Amino acid sequence: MTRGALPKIPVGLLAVLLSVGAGTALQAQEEASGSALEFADLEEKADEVVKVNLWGRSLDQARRLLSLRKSVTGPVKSFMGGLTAVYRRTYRFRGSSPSEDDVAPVHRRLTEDGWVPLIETEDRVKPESLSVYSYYEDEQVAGISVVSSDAGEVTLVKIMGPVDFEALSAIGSGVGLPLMNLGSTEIEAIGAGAGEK
Amino acid sequence: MYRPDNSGLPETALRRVLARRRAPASLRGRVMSSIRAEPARPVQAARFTWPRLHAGWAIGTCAAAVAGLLALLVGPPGQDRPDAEAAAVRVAELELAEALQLAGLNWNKAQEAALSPIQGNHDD
Repeated sequence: MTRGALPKIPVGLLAVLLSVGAGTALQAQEEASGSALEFADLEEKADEVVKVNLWGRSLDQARRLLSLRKSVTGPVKSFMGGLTAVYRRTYRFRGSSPSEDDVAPVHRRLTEDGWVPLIETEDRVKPESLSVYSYYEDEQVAGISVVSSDAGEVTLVKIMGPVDFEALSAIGSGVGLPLMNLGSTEIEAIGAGAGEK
Repeated sequence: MYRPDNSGLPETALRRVLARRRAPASLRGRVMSSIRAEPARPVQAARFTWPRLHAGWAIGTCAAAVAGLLALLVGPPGQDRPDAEAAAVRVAELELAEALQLAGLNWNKAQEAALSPIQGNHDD
């Protein structure tokens, strides 16, 4: 019995490693990027948290469906086609507002991960700030991150992949992507702006 | 006189077979004597025994179960889950659209903020 069982144990272990390990290798790589966007203090203080992790199959299916929409322009389709991951973290506050110290870890994490600040703006009157970071690989822009904070909300959007800034700008102006029934007040503002044009 | 019914005993059955096959008397005698010489074995009640699994097979079975579960969870959609799959894709589409629109909106705002002092200087 012992002689028969011994060779079977490595075979069984190999089966476990093949079945679990192979599937999780890529997943672990992308999840590591997503888990690097966890901000426990902000999450604890916020009344509402939105977390979006799109990569691999989910991103592929989402962009395929979105590309089928009539209003999606060619440059936007091309821009979406190159993306490898999209992450979003939104922390909403109803009572207390987020302080600078609350937002600081978000900026610190990005700079630690090699993101370079591109534009940083801060309102001296209102508690509002907006920062745009870019990520470079082989001297090419390989990602863009946007951190915005005001009295009621802190939002981080991280887009991985070659960035077409013109396409991104068009999307921000309400052109190139359909305006769907989205929850964010900022998106509604885009819709209003696009309607005025 | 009482004669017990021993027709079902192996010895009786064998004797019957040997007689039918017309085996030589010497062979019959040898076979019967060897049977008689064999000590009677105590009859044991059938006992239930748990199936004994080797460690390798146990691990292999677990691996197959895990692989099946993973395939069910992350594998290609089955015929019985089209609605759930379609709903998940629709949510992902909305999330992608919203994330891109937020990034685009803030990119435009940041550009405006960065360029506004320059525009102010031009106005002067």
